[in-house]
Amino acid sequence: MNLDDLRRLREKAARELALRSEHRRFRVVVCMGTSGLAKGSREVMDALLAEVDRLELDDVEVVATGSSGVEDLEPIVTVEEGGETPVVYGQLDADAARRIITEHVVKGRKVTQYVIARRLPGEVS
Amino acid sequence: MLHVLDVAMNAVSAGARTVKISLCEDPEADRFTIVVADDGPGMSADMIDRVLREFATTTTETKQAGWVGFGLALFRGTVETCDGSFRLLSRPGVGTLVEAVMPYGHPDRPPLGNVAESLQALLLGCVSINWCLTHRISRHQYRLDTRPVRRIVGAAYDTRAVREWLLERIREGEAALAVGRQTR
Repeated sequence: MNLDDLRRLREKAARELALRSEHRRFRVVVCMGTSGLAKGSREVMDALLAEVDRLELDDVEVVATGSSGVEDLEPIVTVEEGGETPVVYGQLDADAARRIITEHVVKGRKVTQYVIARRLPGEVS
Repeated sequence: MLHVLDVAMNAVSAGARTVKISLCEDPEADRFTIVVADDGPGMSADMIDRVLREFATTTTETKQAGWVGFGLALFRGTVETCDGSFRLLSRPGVGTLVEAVMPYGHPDRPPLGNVAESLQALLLGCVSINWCLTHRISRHQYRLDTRPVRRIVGAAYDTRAVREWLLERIREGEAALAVGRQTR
């Protein structure tokens, strides 16, 4: 990497940022603690990232977090949308992760077969 | 890579700002070294003792240990199974360093797996963290430090353009290493 490369990148990224809406609509949180990782949360994370990029979803943020504390149901992903009740998905694989993006995030249809909990905003999980 | 991701996520969960990961494969010297260092809150001697023991204790104690579960104990278990050495250095307020050195050719040493995919999960899943990654195989190595990138692109760091650029650097680096491995 050299300085010119980075300057070009800065211009490109700044253009993208200028076009993006102020707030991101969705926050997709992936539990990547010990048990999650052992059960495939890394693959789930990569699938989510790839799908978000493939569909060019600028209002979706995918973030990693630590253990969920519910080892049995890992890999666990929580979809948060504005003031909506977060939806917690469990026992996911890469395919299920892609469906969460194409169904829930894009079409607003929850992938019910993987939903394990609904949490009220502000409530401690 | 599972252990590496696990230790790195410990650092992230603990509140580190910068995490350095170094993977050093040295078949000639029959040595494989993994180092993960962070500038998180660190641990007291008592806590270090506890997190390494956790594997053999009860869940109540795991909970008392706070943010660290049994990941470090598992990592140490893996390292010791293949006659390697495991070090955990930590100081409250300074940070934590985990170092694993294993014989490269040991039959029980788990393969590193897909390095690019693992690093990308960390890099893109934890954009607020400064990552400093080094992967070396014999004489070839590549390094990716997100700090200068962040300094230059500023607020636009969390954009697709930057994500793609960072991924490309990792892919490029891994591809060059793969060529180096073949021509060794």
